Amino acid sequence: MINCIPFRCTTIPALCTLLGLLATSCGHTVDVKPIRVEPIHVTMDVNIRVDKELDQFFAFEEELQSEVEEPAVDEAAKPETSS
Amino acid sequence: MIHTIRLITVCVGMIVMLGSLSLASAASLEGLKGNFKKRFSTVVALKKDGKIGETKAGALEAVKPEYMKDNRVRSIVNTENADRRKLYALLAKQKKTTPQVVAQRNARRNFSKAAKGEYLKQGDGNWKRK
Repeated sequence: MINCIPFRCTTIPALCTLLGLLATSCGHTVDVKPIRVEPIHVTMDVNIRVDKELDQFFAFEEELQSEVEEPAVDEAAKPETSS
Repeated sequence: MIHTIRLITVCVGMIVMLGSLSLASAASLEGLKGNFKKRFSTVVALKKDGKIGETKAGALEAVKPEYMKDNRVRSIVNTENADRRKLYALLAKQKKTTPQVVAQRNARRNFSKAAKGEYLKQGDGNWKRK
């Protein structure tokens, strides 16, 4: 009985400490940082809108380019074809 | 009652102002397009001759400084760049961005559309033939 008291006095706090340590070591926190994708999205959106507007504005270039590459054949310069 | 009439008048005024602003913008865009169309064949010819080229800043530039002594080259480069600056400012306002962004996008577009043999000014300042 005399031996039992010191045993209880040391064992119970020791067990509590052990349990406490186990509880804290098992539990881990996952720190998830918020992912911000908004600026990239906005930049891409602006670029797409600007590209579209530029393509629409300079659409005449395609037409004129073909005219520059293939100038209209002068009727007078055409070789005569004999039938 | 008077307050309501005033409020309605202010709102109508604002709508009319916004409408006229967008119409003015559209009109100036059409005007600019006309200018670009008029110069297009000359710009193409000068690019083919290797006198002028496109830059990363979305502008035209003489490939060699001495080419700017030629009145035709100087006039085309200056008027084209002036109109491009106006266009970039207008589109930037429309698309809620900066003229620099529009200029860079146009430079990108011009680089990809450039014909073989045309000069393109690289980021390091050197001219490279496509």
